Amino acid sequence: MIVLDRLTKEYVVGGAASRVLDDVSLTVERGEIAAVVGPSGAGKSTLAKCINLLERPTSGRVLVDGVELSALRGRALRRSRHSIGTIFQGASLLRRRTAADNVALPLDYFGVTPADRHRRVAEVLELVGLSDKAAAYPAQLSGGQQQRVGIARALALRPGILLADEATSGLDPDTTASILGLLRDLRDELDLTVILITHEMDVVRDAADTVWRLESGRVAESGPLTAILADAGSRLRGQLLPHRPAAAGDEGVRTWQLSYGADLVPADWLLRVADEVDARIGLLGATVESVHGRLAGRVTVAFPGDLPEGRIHAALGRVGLTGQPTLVPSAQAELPERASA
Amino acid sequence: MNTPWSDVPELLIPALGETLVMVGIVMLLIVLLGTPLGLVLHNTSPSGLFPNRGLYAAISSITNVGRSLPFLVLMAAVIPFTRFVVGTNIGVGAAIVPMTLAGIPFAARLVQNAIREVPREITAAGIAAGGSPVQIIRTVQLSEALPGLVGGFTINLIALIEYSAIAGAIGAGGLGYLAVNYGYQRFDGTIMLSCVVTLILAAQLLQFAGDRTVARLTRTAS
Repeated sequence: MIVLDRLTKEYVVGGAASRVLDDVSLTVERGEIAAVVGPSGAGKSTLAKCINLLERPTSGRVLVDGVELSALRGRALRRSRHSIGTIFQGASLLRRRTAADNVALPLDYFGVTPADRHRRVAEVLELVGLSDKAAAYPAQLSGGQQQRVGIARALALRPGILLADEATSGLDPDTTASILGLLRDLRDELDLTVILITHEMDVVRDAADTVWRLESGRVAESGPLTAILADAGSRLRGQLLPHRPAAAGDEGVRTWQLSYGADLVPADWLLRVADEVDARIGLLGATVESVHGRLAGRVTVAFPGDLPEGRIHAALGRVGLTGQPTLVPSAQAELPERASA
Repeated sequence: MNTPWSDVPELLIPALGETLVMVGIVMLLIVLLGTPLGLVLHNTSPSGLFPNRGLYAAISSITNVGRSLPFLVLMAAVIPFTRFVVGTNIGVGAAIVPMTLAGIPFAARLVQNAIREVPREITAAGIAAGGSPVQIIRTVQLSEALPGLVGGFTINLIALIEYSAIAGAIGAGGLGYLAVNYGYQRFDGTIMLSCVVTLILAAQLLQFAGDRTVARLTRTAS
């Protein structure tokens, strides 16, 4: 388990202090994958550097399984670093060392015996599926393979916590998916606590159990991913389930914005609601994702204009949806020529 | 008066030997002293392991003093120091002192530059992997910068041949001495031409060897 307790980081630039992290508290339980998201400049990378103590927080504590890393210095800190394995954003492998020797770097620093070094390197390379690339230099590996070597290196000293700082930025979508799959498998296999620092919403949707959204150095929003996806008022949900353009409804209809709620939404809800209100429903646009085996989404539909709102709300409630009629149908507002034609 | 071609090797080979001894000794001293200075420069700079604005500014300006003097001026200016160290201000021994003094700051800057080129993320990865400063310097900074260091030292080595020629003018021996005393003062065309060709060949050969070594040390995709 890792606890960040009221972390603050200030940089003094030209005599003026600028606060990059402002009172950030965060707890990630053992076996959990937590994503820290936010726009660039929100303090994500500073937070990552404060977690593994590459930067020292101005105030606040970093606790790993009860040990206060932020209180350690020098040799004691180096010895304690093995509790956190860090995966960086590409280009962090030593270019003149083979994959195996890169993986062995923390073991060399720690001072293990050659036999242990050999055994552990083989083990972690096997874990990331790169046993056959042990003798390859980084330049001979693809971006995804390099990142796997980085993961193997981070795991070499059996850390309880894996910190991934933009580890999938710059990888193509397929490679990103395979790296995230690997991280999930490793979490399951090794009972790791994983912190993903990322700006990619796909990463959050695919891998995170909990999400922390940073904004201007503060935690603006946090919670389990499923709860955030069910919270119609969440900004993060808006980013995770982006609003796709919806078609305009026919004459005499009223468009509604629907949201999947926290309860299980039956897959055939559209028919059920139509039966319930005894009307035809037009499907105008939708973002529906399966997250942790449950559906989450935002849908734009058209109900007959004369249908009482109360009946619609009641029918939606029965299938676990919430909804609001759109005040001015957006498609008509944006395309006046087409509406009048 | 032109020396006959048949007599050229007799003069040229000992002179080349002197030049190589001078340059070799100085290069060794420069690598041994310039590398630590370059490491200190890099690691006290804002991007180093122990950023220290004041110390960096001090070492940096001392380094700049060494680099701002043309070699001829430096050589003349340090004659008292040279005499104190080697007991004389003429000959190969006397040339080694100003050459080393001029070469160290040059080498230090080249070392600093080569290490600065190592991506920050690689250094960060080393620190996060639990490396001590000495381990980071050895396994990350020096090892990763090795091709750059060899490239830099090649430049340094060729510059030293030039220094040795200037030092030759004050009686240090070597190809510079030969070129000035025979080629220039006695209007000896064959000696001048031989010296020029030898110097060019030496520079070409060193650069070629340096480039080959850099290529061999760089782990590319091939």
